[in-house]
Amino acid sequence: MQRSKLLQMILLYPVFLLVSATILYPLAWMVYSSLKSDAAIFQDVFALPDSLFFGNYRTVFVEGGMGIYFRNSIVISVISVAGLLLLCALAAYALAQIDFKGKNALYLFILLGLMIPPQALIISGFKWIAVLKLVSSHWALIFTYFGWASFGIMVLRSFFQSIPKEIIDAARIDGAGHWQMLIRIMLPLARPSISTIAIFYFMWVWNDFIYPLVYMQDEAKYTVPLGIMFLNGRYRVQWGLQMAGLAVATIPPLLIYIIFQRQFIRGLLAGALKG
Amino acid sequence: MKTYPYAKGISPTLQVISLAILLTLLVTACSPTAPTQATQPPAATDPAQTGAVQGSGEVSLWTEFTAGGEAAGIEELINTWNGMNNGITINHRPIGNEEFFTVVRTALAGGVPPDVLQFEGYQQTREFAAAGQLEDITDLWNSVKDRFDLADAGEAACTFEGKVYCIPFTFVTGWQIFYNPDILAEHNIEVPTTMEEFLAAAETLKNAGVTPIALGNQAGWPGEHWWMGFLVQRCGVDTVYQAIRMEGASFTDECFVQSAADFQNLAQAGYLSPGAASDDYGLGQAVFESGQAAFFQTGAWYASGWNQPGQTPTPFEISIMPFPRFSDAANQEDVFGAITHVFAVPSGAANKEAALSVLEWLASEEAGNIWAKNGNASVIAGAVDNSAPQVIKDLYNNAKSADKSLPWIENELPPGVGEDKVYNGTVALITGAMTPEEFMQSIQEGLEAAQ
Amino acid sequence: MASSRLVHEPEATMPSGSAEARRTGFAYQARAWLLAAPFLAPALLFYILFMLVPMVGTLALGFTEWTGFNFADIRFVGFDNFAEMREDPIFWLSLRHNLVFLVGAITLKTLVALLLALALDQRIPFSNLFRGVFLMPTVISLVVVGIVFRLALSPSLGLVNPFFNAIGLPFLGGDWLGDPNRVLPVIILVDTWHGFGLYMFLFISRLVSISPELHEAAFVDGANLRQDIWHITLPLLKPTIAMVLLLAAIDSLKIFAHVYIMTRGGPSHASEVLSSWAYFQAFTANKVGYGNAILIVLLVITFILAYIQVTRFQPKEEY
Repeated sequence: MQRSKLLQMILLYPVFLLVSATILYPLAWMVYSSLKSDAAIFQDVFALPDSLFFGNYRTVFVEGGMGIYFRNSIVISVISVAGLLLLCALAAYALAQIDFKGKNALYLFILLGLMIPPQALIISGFKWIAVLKLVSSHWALIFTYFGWASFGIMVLRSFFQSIPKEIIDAARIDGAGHWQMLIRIMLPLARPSISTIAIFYFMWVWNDFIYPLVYMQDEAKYTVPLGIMFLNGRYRVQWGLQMAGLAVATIPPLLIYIIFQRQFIRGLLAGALKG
Repeated sequence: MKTYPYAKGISPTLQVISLAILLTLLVTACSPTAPTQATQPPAATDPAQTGAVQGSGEVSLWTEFTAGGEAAGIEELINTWNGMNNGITINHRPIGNEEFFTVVRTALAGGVPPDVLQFEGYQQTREFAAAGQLEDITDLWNSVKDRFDLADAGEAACTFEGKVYCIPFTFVTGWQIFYNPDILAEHNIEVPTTMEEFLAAAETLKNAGVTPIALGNQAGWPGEHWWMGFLVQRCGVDTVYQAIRMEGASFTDECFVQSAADFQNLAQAGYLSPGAASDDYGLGQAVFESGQAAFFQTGAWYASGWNQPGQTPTPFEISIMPFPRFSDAANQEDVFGAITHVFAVPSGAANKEAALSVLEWLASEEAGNIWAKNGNASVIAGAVDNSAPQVIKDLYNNAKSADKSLPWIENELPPGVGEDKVYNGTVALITGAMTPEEFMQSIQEGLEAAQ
Repeated sequence: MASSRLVHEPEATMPSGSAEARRTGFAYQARAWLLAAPFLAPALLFYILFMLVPMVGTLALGFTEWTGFNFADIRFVGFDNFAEMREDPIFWLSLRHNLVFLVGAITLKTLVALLLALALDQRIPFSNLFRGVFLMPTVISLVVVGIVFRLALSPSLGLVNPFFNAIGLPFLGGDWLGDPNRVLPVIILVDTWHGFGLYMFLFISRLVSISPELHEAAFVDGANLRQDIWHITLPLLKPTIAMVLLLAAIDSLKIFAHVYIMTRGGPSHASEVLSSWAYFQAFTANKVGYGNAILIVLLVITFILAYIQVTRFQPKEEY
């Protein structure tokens, strides 16, 4: 055992390091480019900055008006993700554990929601939002994101199905009903899967720009990606500014990721012990 | 161990139920269209009001002016208007160019347009007007027309079936090449005045290991601009229009093929930056500004971009020369350039009366001067001469003195033909995927198919 | 909770022999539906109102001719748009590219995700750290990915070609996104870079719930690592693999953003896919009807794949 562990380390570390390098370098590049002036970027796009230049960040926050966009994005993302987790957990439980006719048909029907790219829906989607009188309301976005439940249902259903029968049967013998089963047994076990979908939903909602772009006609209702997008002029690309904007926009999803990644690992450990 | 039964297929009952649900939804999704038709307000307002400001309240204004001289200009315009305290306030929403058309389309179709809308004239005027989405402002235009330079070109950009739907605002010329004087000096090259001299300079630079031309043609239009420089001198504006209207000329005619061959020659001779087929416009610009290429062809907007306050200066003094012509070119007079910004009032505007007041003010000398002062080529007569920076003055007067000008050709071709056949064709000329004959053939076919 | 226990009663106490008969009964089904309804209703409400309504609207537009500026101008044309597709060489080219993406993504993305997940599952020192890093690309916005890779791959300003020069393999360099023969594989690679994390997440969440005793038992029986993975881990991962394959298939069929942000479908259609061509038709060429008809084709293909997967490859065993 000991020797094979050593062998594994010798074989795996180079692969791990290589993959890590391809992942970390672009991120680092984005960050250090944002600390260069445009002139310095033009000298050599990939060189490290000689001196730190914070002007780009000043522009992002002062002229870009990013403060209000941040608030909007956080409110929308938090409500949307919390709601999605609830909707997905409930629906996935029914699809995995309650035995009713037409389950597969319903599941396929729900999967339809994954199959069309979002930009394909904006013409009829906007018309519908206008009919509902939700134009420029954050609810238009939140409700639209609630409609993205298919992915979470898919992942949680698969997980709920994989929970060992013994655990379920033991709970039943103890007299647990469906609600108790979901809350006491399933959800704690599903912590890694829930963190996974929380991370991805947060990222998708946070980074989405097509729906805010079309549904929010009032600048005060804009979200971060729109703010970043409009930092650039039509025929004029300011590289440093763009990088600063992107770096600023990337931080919240990364933070969420780090927080949930802890949950994820804790869930992993719990799952491993119980499994 | 107990297993759960998994249905092997979808039961017929559920197939019927899901079909029923889908059909119900279809009906629900389509019915909202009815109210829009009913609520299309009739064009009741008489736009020919002059003098005192009509209307009140808030006017929403959408533009694609997000940065540089355009953003500074629109900001000053709005501040000036709002400072008049005349009961109308403008609420501006800038939208990035890439997304602009998508947003405008959904807003118009959804029945929630802004009160004043900026767009790019020509084909867009015709599309919006044909769909009944723009207010007819022929009377307003006639009352302000004599305040404008290039009034005929402006009117052409705004007319659909004999009626005028917008007022022109900016003229942009494509007839120039920006260059890096340091590189030319270093290799003892005089600023080229003919295309022969230009190609000789490019050859010298290439042999010295310097990229002659910076080009980022991923989107297809920067290459199209180069091709149009050749097209206008090989064929002339009138012939091009004959081909577009399919009256007396065809894109497969020799002068057209020649112009495409002229452009492809730049690629095959190795004069273009190595990423010409895949770099986007911003990367092409970065190649030029980083001092890695001698020439950069683009529209006059570029001149108002680099000297904005707060802009990092480039490491060299950017200079401008006219687009050089072959000494044997058939046409020595015409240029390409166009009205690029127009303002209109959508028919579904919520505050139409006030919107028309704003529109009329945008056609004033005051507004023109503010726009020009910020580095934009306003088409209000005298505005550029009175207020614009020297570089804009030179470009504008050069274009104004030309015989005729041709707008970017996708604006005059049927929707999609320019953006597909022309844009993709100029990329294909660079990669060698098409010959000049095939390029021209594809435009001609696209044009015929669209009829 | 008393009521739910009551509802649950029949199944828990049911003698297994008569289960089938009882389950097909109407009363049983009605009860099961009633039981499932409160769980399903909230998700379905939003799903139907805010996903399906726009979707059905979009699909309905596929049977019309419309420039997309005024709903009053819509004209129903039946199946004309589908007839037009037959004559459209770019449509067929795009379809072919979608299939390349399908095969490429399913093999590459799933394989990378699975192999790295299995490697991390060996819990060698620093595994947690590496896992944290590997999952990072998936939380980065696509806009960042597009800008960084476009710049890095650019033959004018990028660093990939200089890198190949530096390691003495200059012939490998080229115009990565501008060469019609390279552009598809390059986009698949970038898509893999950006997307494998999601699938790896899903694999890892399943891997850890496999009891360590199972592995220990296998090793006690003299199995080596390969046998352990092959006979213990992979069979247990099967449902997850099936789900990931379906997800990868759906993602690669509807692929849009990566293509749009890296190449716009270029150079001259060399990386055009169905959704980017549909987008061009609807939003640039003003043929909303035709564009949406292309989306219908895309949806039908995807749905058939999902149907096969869900009905044929459902796990019969629970774990």
